[in-house]
Amino acid sequence: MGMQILSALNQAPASADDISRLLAEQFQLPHDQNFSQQIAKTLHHLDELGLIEKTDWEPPA
Amino acid sequence: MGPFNVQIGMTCTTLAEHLYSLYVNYEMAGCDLAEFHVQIAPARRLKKPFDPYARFLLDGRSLFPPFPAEQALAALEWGVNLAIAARINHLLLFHCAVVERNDHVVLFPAWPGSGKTTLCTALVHHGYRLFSDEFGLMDPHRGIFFPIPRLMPLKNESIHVIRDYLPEVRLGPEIRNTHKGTITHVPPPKESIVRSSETAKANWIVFPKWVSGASLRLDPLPGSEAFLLLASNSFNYEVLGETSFQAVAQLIKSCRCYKLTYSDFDEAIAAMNALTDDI
Amino acid sequence: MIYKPSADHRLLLNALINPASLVEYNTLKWELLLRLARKVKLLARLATELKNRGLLDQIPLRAANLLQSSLVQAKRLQQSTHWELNRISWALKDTDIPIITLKGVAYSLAGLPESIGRVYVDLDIMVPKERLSDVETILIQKGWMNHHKLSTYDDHYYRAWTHEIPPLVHPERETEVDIHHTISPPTSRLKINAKPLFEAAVTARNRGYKILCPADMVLHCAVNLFENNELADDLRDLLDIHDLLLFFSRNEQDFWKKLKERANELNLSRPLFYGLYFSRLIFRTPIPENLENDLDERPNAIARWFMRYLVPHALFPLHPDKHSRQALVARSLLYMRSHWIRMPVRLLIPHLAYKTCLSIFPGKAATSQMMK
Repeated sequence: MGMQILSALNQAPASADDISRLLAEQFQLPHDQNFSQQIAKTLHHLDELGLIEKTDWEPPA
Repeated sequence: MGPFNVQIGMTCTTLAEHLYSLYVNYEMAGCDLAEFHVQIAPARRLKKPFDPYARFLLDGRSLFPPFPAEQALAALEWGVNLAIAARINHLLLFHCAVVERNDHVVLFPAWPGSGKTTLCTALVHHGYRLFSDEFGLMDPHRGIFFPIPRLMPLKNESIHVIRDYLPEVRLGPEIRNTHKGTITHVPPPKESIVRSSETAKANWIVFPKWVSGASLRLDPLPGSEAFLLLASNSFNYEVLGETSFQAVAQLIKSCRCYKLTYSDFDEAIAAMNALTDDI
Repeated sequence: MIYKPSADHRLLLNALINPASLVEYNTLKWELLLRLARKVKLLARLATELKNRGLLDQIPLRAANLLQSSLVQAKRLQQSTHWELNRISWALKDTDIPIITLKGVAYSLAGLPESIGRVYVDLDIMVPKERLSDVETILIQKGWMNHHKLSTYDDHYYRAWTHEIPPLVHPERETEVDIHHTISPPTSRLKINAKPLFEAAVTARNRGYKILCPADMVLHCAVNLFENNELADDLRDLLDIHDLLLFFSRNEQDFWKKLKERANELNLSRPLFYGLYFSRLIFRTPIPENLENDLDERPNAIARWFMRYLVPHALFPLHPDKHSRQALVARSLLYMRSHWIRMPVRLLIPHLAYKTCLSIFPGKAATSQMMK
């Protein structure tokens, strides 16, 4: 899952919600709160390792 | 020893005799620079003051706890391995056996159950030149491997296996109760020492696995898997950083990678012969 | 007083002061030099000096290979510690806690050219004392943990008597992080107020991290060497002082004036005296004559005489095969001195007694009894 997140973010910045939705579709898993929490945890871990960075960037409307 | 000179100091005469006999084919380096200065020195333990113990010292520093004096030879060999792994970073150090045939080397990376040293011992007595049973020393920029033929340590059952398979080979003394069990050393064939300045590039990477009673299998291995297994089996991959990544990638690209499952030496050697004849 | 180094010391010293002369060293000299330099962590320094002069191919190949190896290792360690600083800053980014980077990493941030060949293994940072427990809590929350398993005694020793908390490490990496709140133990004879250090801190040019101002950086180095350490094999730290003095005197306006005024202001003139004295004596640093005379507090003639005799024996490495009796005695005396000046007698005696007891009866470490 971490690899997929890195791969996705390497293409373009995205919000946590977007990533969560994209991966749920990709792996055909229910996009529920549990799943979103897992993604959030992985994102935090990747941030901790310095592989990604959380910013205040907002996606264009 | 291959690209390095080692100066060994000791006070124990038994060890001196063993070394004299097992290192008989090595050349003395004379006045050339020695990279490593090691010593086997007596040690006294508070708890057992009458048992003869010894220490391994590298430039006066102990690298691991003292050991019973009769294990000195094994400790010396391990200590020199540690010293090389600790100090050498101008070469990439793979944890694998390396042998040469038809001017190219085969790498046998170490992994649990590989029996690489036993297989290596068998091969070097059937026409393969020993580079090392432990270290693949590779120049990361040119992809060249350097021989470092040294005593090959056989452990426990492997000792009996080699005694049966190669009854004519002279083995060193049996050293019991080490932390790896019983050990005995096989001196490298004279030719591999004489030719130890002749380097070579790699053509094949073979991951061996000895399985009792198994029939021979030589299966190709995807490069990505081989990369991961080889990189995680290196002593200093992380130290060299990006250089390692490029070097291993290049190595994998230029080699054919296989998984070898075997139980019979003759079969394994025949398979390796066929492989290395086909360049 | 003219300094006459012994043959071994001269071998190493020449290599450091005049690296171009290394092409004339024969294999025997190289073999000894490599062992000596390794002991004082200066292999990578020699490597860099030769590399900068394009001389690596004019020395014996075996020597060049070992030097190259040391350089690879040094680069790796530098990369790791800089990255650790990056991660620490990440962890503390939502707080306003000022972090000052110290020692090796700081020299690199300050732009010291010799920092390329410097080996530094740990990350040293300083935060205000009153924010120390916040920093520790946040870092532990974000994944760092204690690097060594400490007994209750050792833990207390760190927090009460030294100027740092027990080292931390992040399990994903191996770099030890030492977090200080001042530059000398609170129990030492120097009573240092850390506040001025924070006030005068500057921002490193390209990276946005805070480091000590030039005068304070030199003073910290001198304090560390002559007040905190045992001096054994610390030649590299004196070389740091030499490098810093050269660098700042060339790049900072009125550096010498600022240095002596700051030393007097912070009551650090005594360690600075030794720093200037030995840097000039051993490395012939071009320090203005009589600069030391403007320092308020100078060691008396007897102390100077002892240090002049003892310090070179400690700083330079022992010969790997034949330890000189003189050097061993000098080192023991300086070892005692280092403990003496770091802790008052009322704390020192019980502390040493406890440690001696432990080395004879290791089982006692399990008990948490404090000796009064």
